[in-house]
Amino acid sequence: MAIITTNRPNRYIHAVYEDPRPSSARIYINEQGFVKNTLAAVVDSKISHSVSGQSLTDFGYPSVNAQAIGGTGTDTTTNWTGVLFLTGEITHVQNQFVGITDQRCNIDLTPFVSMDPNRRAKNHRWEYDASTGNNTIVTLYNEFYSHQTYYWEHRYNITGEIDTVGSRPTSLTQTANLYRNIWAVYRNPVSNNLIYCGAYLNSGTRNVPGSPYAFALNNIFSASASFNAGVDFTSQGMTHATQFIGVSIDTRAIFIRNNFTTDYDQIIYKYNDSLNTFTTLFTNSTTPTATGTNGGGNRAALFGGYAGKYSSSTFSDPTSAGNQGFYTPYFDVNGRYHPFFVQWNVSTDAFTRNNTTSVTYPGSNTMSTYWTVDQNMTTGVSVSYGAQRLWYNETFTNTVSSTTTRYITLFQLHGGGNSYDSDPKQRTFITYSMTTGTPTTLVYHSSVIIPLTPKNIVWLNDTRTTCGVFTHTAFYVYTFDATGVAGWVLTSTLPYQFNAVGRDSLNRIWATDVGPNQMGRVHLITPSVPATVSVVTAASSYNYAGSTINSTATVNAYDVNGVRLAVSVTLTVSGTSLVLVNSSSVQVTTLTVTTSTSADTTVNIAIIGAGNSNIITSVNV
Amino acid sequence: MDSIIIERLKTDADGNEITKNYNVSYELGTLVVSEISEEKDSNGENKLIPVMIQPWKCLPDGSRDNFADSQDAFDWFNEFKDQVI
Repeated sequence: MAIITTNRPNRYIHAVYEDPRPSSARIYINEQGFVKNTLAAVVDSKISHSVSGQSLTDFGYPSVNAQAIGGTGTDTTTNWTGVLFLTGEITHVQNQFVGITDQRCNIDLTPFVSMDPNRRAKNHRWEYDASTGNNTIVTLYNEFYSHQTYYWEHRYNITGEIDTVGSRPTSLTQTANLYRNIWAVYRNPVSNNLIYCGAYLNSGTRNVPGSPYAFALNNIFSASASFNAGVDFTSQGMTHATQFIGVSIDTRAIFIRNNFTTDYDQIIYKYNDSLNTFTTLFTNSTTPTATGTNGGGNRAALFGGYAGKYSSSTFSDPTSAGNQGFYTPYFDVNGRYHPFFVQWNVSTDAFTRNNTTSVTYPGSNTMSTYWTVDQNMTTGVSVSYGAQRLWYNETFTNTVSSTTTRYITLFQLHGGGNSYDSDPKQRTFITYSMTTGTPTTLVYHSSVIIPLTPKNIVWLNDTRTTCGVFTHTAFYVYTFDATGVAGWVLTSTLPYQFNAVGRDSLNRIWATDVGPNQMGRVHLITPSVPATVSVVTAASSYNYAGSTINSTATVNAYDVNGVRLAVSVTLTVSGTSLVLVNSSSVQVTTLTVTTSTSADTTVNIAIIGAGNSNIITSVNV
Repeated sequence: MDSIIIERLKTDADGNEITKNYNVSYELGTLVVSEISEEKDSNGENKLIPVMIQPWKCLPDGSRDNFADSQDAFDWFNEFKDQVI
């Protein structure tokens, strides 16, 4: 991991902006242009967000709203933090308040608002129409504090680099009082409308967002692109969460609305973005009946009465060739997870909801052995709904010796920061394996306890097997064990209060935190740069009795996924009791070694006195 | 074409409860729900803004069926209007 820059001027500008066009090799850190793959600065290259080209125009934030770790939040400004505009998936997190119920703890829905593996939510995107040659860049960011405003920028048919005079934005708009945050999920290639999923917000507490809107940015291949009103589900804004399922064969987008107040009330509809109308495809508000391990019924408020529930990505239905399916969280009357397996007939857009009938655990264990509900979900309305806490299940596969297994992981998230710190079961992610060919039968596979309250996640690869977890004081990276045994394994701990993490087109991972100047700091967590360097001596302590003790230490460098890296590591001894021994058997206090991609690198050391010594590492990149 | 007018209590962007009127019409097997706008068209009539176009009824268990007639369509809509709009 490397710190790329520490911001100094207090300019309201994005932390990083990647030109999303394949034809461009530029990336902008704050406003300065760099060559994307080498990060070499480009002379006379500054991005402008001014439509007129005459002024420095705010667009995004370098980093504000952060709270000092352990401190008290005082910054009440109304914005996101450390905005990243990259072409991959990005999650933003708010940090200025911790441990309270407040809309400033609301969760960015980016990691789960789209269920389509091929159409993830991306608010910074380049769209291209091959039939006309038209192209456009549409960029926006949400402000979660107020939920009243967002900014969006549109650059239509630009030809040169973005930093040239002829490539100014067509429009830069702050749209007020929409009471929604929005995520772009899909461009309809027939209408050329860009489809969004939007979160409605109550104007009072603003911590009761359902997300009932589907709506569109119309005519994106024109200079006058504009948002339509969206379908009018206002009355359900406080009771439903919405996700984008995918695209019908008629090119229309399909959405699911899931009721917060029960687990068994789902509505699926198709959005006609040309007419701004919808057609209901599916409703099911039937209470499941008890079958097998599934107790059925209504868990009511006892096990988290009010929770936003987010379904998994879609995947090939193993029981119906050519069709799709997904998992939707459902907790039975005993508070035990028995997700619905919902089938999607892609030819007819008919949906069928199936009850999971068998979810089993080792021995006499039950779900409560590993997991417990966020009790805050059971309290009053003003804190019960909302995007501050939610349940999400996601599915992915892992192949071992030609055998592919499908897994489902259940996440419980709370944007408040430390709400689950005292109870490990509230911050446990449980993973189940799907019985091959039988999606309604799940078997407990593994569970992982996040060290601190998980505020949100970011997917760090497209296959959903590397996951970053935001907490208030650290960022954790987990990789699903490729051998299929251990489940999610912690591979890296980055001790920063990140407020955004995302990937660029080169699959590099970028992050922002507030930095020492409170103006933002940009990190690059690229796979070729070690996230962790370990030095482990052969013994944890030595009993020095006046004679030199010869021993060894192993040195390893790992990337963010826990994979060994071959890098040059300089070891420096601090203290007088220990020395390093080089290849000429000379005792030295500084030694440079190269780590291996396959094995431990061994360094000879010698204990030459009493007392404590440290070995300090630095990496040459 | 058969049609009915219904009244719905909604919540506006400021969190206030407001009443909206909808025209629910049925023709050739399809139910169309339109919001009755206060804006007038060239004939001085309130503009209709289509909201839902429904060629079938969705049943409580998730299955679908065709509308038998306009009354069947209106009955379905009245039963499920709180869920779908």
